[in-house]
Amino acid sequence: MIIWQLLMIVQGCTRMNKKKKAQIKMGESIIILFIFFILVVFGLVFYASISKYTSGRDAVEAEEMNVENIQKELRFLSEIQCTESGNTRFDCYDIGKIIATQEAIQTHYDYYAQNVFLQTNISFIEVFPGNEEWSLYEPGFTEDDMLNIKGGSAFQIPVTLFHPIDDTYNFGYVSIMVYKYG
Amino acid sequence: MVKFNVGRKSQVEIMGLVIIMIIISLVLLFVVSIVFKQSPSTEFSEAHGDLSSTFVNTLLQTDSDCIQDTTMQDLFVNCARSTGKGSITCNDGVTKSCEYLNTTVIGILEDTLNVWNVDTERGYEFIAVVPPQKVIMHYTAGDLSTSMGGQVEPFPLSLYPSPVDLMIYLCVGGCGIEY
Repeated sequence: MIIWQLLMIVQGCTRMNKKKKAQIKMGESIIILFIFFILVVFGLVFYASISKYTSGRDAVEAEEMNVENIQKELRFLSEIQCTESGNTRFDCYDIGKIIATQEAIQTHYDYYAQNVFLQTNISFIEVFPGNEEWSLYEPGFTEDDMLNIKGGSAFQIPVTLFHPIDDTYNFGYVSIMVYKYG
Repeated sequence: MVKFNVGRKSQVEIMGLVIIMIIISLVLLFVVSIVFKQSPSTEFSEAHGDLSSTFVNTLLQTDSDCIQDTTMQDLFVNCARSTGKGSITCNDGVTKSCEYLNTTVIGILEDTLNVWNVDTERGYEFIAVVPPQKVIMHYTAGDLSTSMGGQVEPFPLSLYPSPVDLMIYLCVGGCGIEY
């Protein structure tokens, strides 16, 4: 009888031990799964932030490339360059020629819009000694375009502005506005 | 003996995991530092170096309204050559070339770089100096936290027959030079 009772106690202990072990294993696997999901979430967040950052940088680079191209077009646009005895003066624009070119752009709008300035806004601003502004080109937006525009960034490049009437070279800058579409 | 071995094994496993975690975090740090830091700073210095050179070139070519047929470059050279406030007196009969330069150049800087938010974004420094000691102009705007550490290229103006040149610096983020 006593032996039987002892046997029962030993069996119960073994069952209890097995139960405890299983619980511990369950706990382990839950913790491992938890850590695994935390790592997955961390990886996703990291990937998303990197891709967001690189796409933002790509957009900025594309914008800068666009501005650089427009700047090159402007630098070699013989319609508005300053010339002295047939020689071109670098980074200098003739106000008289700018005013005359405004009319030419209106007459041949499609040519300038498709080949030269695209969807940018270009204006010349005098800072010293006067304070005047001349708009060279404004893109003709349709109502749909206006709805799709998300904003824009302006890029400024210092330039010399020549006044042919006074024969003076003044300090100014060209502002190139690039629009962002949604 | 068996218990001791089991404890050691788990310790070795934990050490392995720690080493793997350290390696992964080091790799992550390396990737983050390359992706987020290096490229923008090089782009920044190139873009602003271009802005500085264009700005100073344009400024020197500009006609002054101090006296007729005088450019800013002529006034800078006159101010650097003469002792005191400069030997050129402007049309108003009072202002000397150095004073005129100070007022006008600061006005132009404020109407351009400050309007373009260069002062709030990185700060900038304009220096015109004849080494070793004569400072013609020194103007700073914004927080000059990112000094370029002497990598900036000055715009030299000859003061012939003097052997030294007038150096003009425009540094976005600070020049980091001593004179």
